[in-house]
Amino acid sequence: MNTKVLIGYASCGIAAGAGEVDRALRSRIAKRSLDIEITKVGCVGMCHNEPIIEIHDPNGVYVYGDVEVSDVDEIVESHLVEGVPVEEKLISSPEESYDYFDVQEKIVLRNSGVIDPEDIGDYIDSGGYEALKKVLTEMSPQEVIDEIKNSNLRGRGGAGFPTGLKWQFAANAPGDEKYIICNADEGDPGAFMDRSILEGDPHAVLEGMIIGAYAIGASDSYIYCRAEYPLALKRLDIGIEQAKEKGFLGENILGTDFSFDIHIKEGAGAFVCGEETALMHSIEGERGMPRPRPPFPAQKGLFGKPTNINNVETWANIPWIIRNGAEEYASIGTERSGGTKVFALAGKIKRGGLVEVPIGTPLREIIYNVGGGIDEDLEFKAVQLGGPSGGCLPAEYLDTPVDYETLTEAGAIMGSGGMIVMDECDCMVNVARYFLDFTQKESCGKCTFCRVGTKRMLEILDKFTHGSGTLEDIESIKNLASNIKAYSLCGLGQTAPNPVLTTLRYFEHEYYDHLQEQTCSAGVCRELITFTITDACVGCTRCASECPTEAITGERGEQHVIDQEYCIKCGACHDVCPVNAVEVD
Amino acid sequence: MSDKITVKIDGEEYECAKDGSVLDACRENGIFIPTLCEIEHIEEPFGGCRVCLVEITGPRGTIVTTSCDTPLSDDLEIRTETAEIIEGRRSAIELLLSEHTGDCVAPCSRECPASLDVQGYLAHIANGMPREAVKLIKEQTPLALSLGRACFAPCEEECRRQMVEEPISIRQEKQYAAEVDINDPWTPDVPYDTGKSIGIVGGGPAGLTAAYFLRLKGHRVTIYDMMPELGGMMRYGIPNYRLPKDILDKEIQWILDLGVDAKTDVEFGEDIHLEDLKEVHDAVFVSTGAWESWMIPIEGKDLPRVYGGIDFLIDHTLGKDIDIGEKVMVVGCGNTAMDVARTARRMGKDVTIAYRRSAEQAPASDEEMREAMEEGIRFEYLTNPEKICGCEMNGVSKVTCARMELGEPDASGRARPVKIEGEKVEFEADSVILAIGQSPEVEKLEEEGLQVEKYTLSVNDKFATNLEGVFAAGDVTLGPCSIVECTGHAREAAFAVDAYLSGVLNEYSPSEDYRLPFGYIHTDEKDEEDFADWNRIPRLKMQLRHPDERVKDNDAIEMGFKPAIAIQEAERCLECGCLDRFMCKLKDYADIYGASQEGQQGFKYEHEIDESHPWIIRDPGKCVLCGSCVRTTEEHGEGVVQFVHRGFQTVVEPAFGDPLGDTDSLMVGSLADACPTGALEEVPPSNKPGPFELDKMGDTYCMGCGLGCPTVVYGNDNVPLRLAPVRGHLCDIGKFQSIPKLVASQDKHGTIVDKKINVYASLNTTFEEAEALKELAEGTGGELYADIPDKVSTVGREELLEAEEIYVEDEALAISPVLKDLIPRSKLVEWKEDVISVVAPSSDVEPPYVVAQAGANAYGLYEMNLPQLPEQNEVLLVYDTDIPEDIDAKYIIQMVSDARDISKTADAVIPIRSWLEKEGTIKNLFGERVKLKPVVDSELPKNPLSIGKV
Repeated sequence: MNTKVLIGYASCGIAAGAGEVDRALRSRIAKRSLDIEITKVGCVGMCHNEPIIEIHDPNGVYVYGDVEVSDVDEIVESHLVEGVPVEEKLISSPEESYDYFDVQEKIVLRNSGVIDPEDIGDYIDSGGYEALKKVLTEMSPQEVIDEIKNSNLRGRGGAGFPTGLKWQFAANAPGDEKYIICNADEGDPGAFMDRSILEGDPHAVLEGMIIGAYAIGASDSYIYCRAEYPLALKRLDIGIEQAKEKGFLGENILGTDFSFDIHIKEGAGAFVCGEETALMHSIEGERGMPRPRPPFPAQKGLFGKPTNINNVETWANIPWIIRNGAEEYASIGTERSGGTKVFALAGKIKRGGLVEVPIGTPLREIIYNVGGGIDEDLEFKAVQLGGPSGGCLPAEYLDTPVDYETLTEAGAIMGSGGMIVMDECDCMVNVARYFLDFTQKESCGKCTFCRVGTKRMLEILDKFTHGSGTLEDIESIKNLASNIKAYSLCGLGQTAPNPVLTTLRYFEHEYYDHLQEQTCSAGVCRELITFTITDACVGCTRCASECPTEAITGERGEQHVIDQEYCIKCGACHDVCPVNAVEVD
Repeated sequence: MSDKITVKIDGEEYECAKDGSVLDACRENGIFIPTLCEIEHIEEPFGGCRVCLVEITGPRGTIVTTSCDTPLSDDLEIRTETAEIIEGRRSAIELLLSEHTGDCVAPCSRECPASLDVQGYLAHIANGMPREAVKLIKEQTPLALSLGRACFAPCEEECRRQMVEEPISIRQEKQYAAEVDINDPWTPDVPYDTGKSIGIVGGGPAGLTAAYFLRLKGHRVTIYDMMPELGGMMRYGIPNYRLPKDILDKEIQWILDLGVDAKTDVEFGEDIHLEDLKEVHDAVFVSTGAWESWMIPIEGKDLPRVYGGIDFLIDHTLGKDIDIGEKVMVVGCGNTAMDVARTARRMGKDVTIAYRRSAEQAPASDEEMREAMEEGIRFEYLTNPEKICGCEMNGVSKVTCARMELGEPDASGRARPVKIEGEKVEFEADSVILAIGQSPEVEKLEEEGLQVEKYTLSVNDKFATNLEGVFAAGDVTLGPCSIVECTGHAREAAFAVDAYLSGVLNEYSPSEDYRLPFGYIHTDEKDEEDFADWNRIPRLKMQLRHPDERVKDNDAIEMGFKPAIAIQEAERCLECGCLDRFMCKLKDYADIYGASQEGQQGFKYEHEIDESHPWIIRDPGKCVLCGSCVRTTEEHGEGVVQFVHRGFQTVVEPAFGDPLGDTDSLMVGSLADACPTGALEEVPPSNKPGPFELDKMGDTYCMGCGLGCPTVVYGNDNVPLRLAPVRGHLCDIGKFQSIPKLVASQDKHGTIVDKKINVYASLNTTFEEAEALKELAEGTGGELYADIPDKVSTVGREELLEAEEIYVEDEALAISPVLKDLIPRSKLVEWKEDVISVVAPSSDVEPPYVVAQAGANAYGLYEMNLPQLPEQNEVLLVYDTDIPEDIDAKYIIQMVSDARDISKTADAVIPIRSWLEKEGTIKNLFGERVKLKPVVDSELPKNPLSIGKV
């Protein structure tokens, strides 16, 4: 086996410096005239270790993490030329593999970080488009739908509607012209599952869509992807082009009567366009505003035609299910929900990144076994699931299996898979405020409860974080929240109060602390905290020079003092103090 | 399969159209569901306002949800009025109110204790219709004359014009209007006799007001009054120079003339008792006022020539001989003190007012204090009488007063006067009049079994006393107050009495207008800066007689407004109140669901009001984002307004934030028609818009162009002010440019004999008129001419709708904009053969086409094949149009239906009926005959040619 080198070249890798590392690597290898192929691959999941270089040599797979340009020469010389791995940079080797992947099970991310996403040949070599061939040659559309039904696959966009059933509705809807849409409008703060899938394995999504189109009877489709994902868009473009060249897409696919086309629609980044009716309006060239359902898209969707919308991750599962069988897929996950779920693990976590685990895996395994636990070994406080539409769950839910039903019962949602971990330094009132501020600004403005109601809720939260809340405010925010949930037009409004409702449910005491004790125990809400310098101060003067309002005085070597009148509570002194002498009360 | 479905709504079963929504089913069956965003002409539900909540039991269990977007299905059970629904609706409305800016009614009206529509009557005055102004005032009070003279005008204190420079002279304006009406007063109709009777005790402002409103409800009313004449404090408390008795007499007589009985010189508790009255009447209304002067416990108060303020005024009015010597000290500085002092001054006395507080704190109006000073009355502020000196024999000789200074604020918020120890001052005085207050005579009321609390008679929130069938209002329950407070209070009490007599007192609650409670949004945040750009136009003050002159007698001092001055002053009104006040759905729903402006509060965006469009005012602060205008403009294939921004910042505005006036759309009026609030509001074709409650005058066909759209006409006092579509939409040409400025009747009789008359008729001429004109012309050897079009449509409406492809010229849509709505846009293409064209094509090929016409009866006159007018004419009769240029005629007669068309070159102008006044037949541009119906009453003859022999 020839030695080959893979370099993580998804957005996460590039952001960490993969571009420079790649150039250095190529130049060094060229200089040494080594006959080694370098492949740019998608995200392997360990975003916390980017840039990553993987060397596959006859001894096995060696993974280097946090590679800097200055490390490149040594890796090339030592490992590639002399065959001696550079131990201190290795994060995984045949002798000692990285436990990051231990509880993971890769279906959706099977190719991500493994193949070159810009080369259809790599995808085909890994068994790509086999499923499409099977479907077109051996299966009737109804057989495909039945297979998906039997797989227990549920929509990965958030609501978890059974995918096979959804396809059945669209297939049954009368009409010659039908549409398929891939929803790639990933808008939750802290979520990057869809982006990574599209960057790492675009053909899996395309193949899934083509199979879906065959099952439903659609001849045209759109991928609605936000313009902020230029790399994903570029790789989709290349993928569509290559699929057309190979005859997987376009007229008479693989020589059959079946024809199908895929268009890309770049979204301008409105969160609400992830809502299916708003998304369709946006494709039609209208303002992205949701409309009442029914009629559902399966009856009356894009341009008034029956339409089936699925999320990126859902589509990416399809080829695997066809190839490996519904039974195999359903055996993974729980009884009511088959397969795996991809999560974007972020927040106060040691090893943030892309995670794929069987549905039903407990939170603790994801956060501690995969994520390596809380950053700086602080106390776990809560995890926000499902982005701004989801909820914050406390420690007592750590052993809860992550599936659609249990999360909904707990007040959160599976959502598209954002998972933000919070520690003891996070103020839950402020967290709720952060998410509500997001949804409030992203409301399309159409319906009263969402547009005005969330604004009024946010104003009440502001009162809490400023210490001017009252007991009545807790009542009125609860009332408002329940009205907004019950009476808003679309999912955005109906779920917007969730972060507030869950923090009120699990962390109500923090709200009371803000209003009765006038304290923010996490030390986050500026109006409620004071910074003081203790006698641990060594008089290094760093805080004084960092302070933007010159509120800190003191002689070098002496204890410094903060003039509270001038302090704007920015926390700069706290962050810069080398001896932790700045206290927050 | 049947296209009907049975649903249960509020327990009743109804058959409904199957493909509709729950909201449609309720509407179809007359069940009220509030909604701000559902417009019937647009099929797809919008689902934005979330007000149309209902409870539905169906396949999804029982849920509260919106009715507009819930389709009907079998076995639905719908409930429309549960507590949860009402709470949900209120919550939605309160959220909308929390982002709403503006004033439902102007601050003047909000401040008026009788809630008079000040903005409305000022608008009538500005529009030169003072009698309409009085009519409006008389909807709320019978005391227009008295208030015009003697109201303390709290409205002016709140008038926002003072943020520009000075408030409007509102009272004087009312006085002007009321006195225009004085000799031939507008009088409401008294309905049939209910047979119920009410005894009213006390004929002052409250009693007279109650009598008026109860009489207007058809009840029999008898007023009992202890004084020789009616009027109460208006007669005996307010001096003649302020409220002349002859004016008061006229007002009272006008009320009595409605059929109100009055018995004077009958004292309650002496000559008559409650028991007797209850025997004779079905209800008793106590409005005995507050006639007892307060006396301070001051040494010497029982000396001869020490009077109570009100006692002095009463005795003076009764013509009694009152001995007050030469030097008079009046104690107190309220309006009664001014009346006392100025009356004493008119008796030729030397008058000093002593007041223990400062001038700024005085309750009397600045105007009255200034006038008193002009008349030579001295004011001693911070001066507190401590002892009245004199003897039993010779009465008062002097008054010892303490000097005061201002200290800490007291309960009323005013700085408390504190005595400066040791500083005393003495005033020589022959008499002292204590005008410090008055109160009801509660002992008498108690003797009659009525329950009193402290100084006033107790009533509940329905104006009922402790005794069955006995109600009360005015000073006796409020303590001494003003005419306007009494009249407002008594009006509502009268409605309570009426409710009692109808057996529905339980359902009675003070009306929405009364003191304008919660439902009205208002903006407190206005200040001078908001009006910095306004032109400064000083307040026009009413002329007063010279002080030297006026102290010589007791006659009126105000000299009245001339009409031009009254109009000019009324034009200064800023029209603070919302023009949509009478049509706003948001306000209606706020009232129905008890939604309050305070229910939800928070940040509001401040929006500029866009007045750039000639007929539409756009006020984004009143927008509820229902999208009705956005969807309506899309229906026309236009995009005049659209949603912009996201979240709370979302607004509806013209593209790129341009002014609305920049649009070239001719369908903007239909957006205002669709608007449920005052966010897009049409400005009526009058000097001041009011707003007024408009009456539906009738329906006819619009003559703005050849389409002849069916239209409803709304107006006020026979003046057409607003056109609305019967179905579909009206364009701006029809809505705003075709309302005629009516030509007043003139008694002109033309007598031109033995001349050849050529008649040139407008293309709006009906068949009937054209026939008559033709006969007239041909009778003289002349002819009927018109500028008939080259061609007319060769197909009708149906073919247009069914056409495969349609070619349209922009010009056609400029002539008949509503054609836009009739053309399915998917069928619009370039010019081709075998298509319907909307204007005659210039090509030689003649496919079927529709021709847009500017003239309402162009099609009809085309069929009559009328010739073109020759250049030379002897006598030319121009009918209902402009005089054509380059035409020679010795004598031109112009018949006009719209004052705006009158030509200066006409030798004679004869008014004829406008299209809103006439009957007749026209053929629209599709060749359909439609019949015009008169919706405006006209004094002009039906047949325009009957004006004598031409």
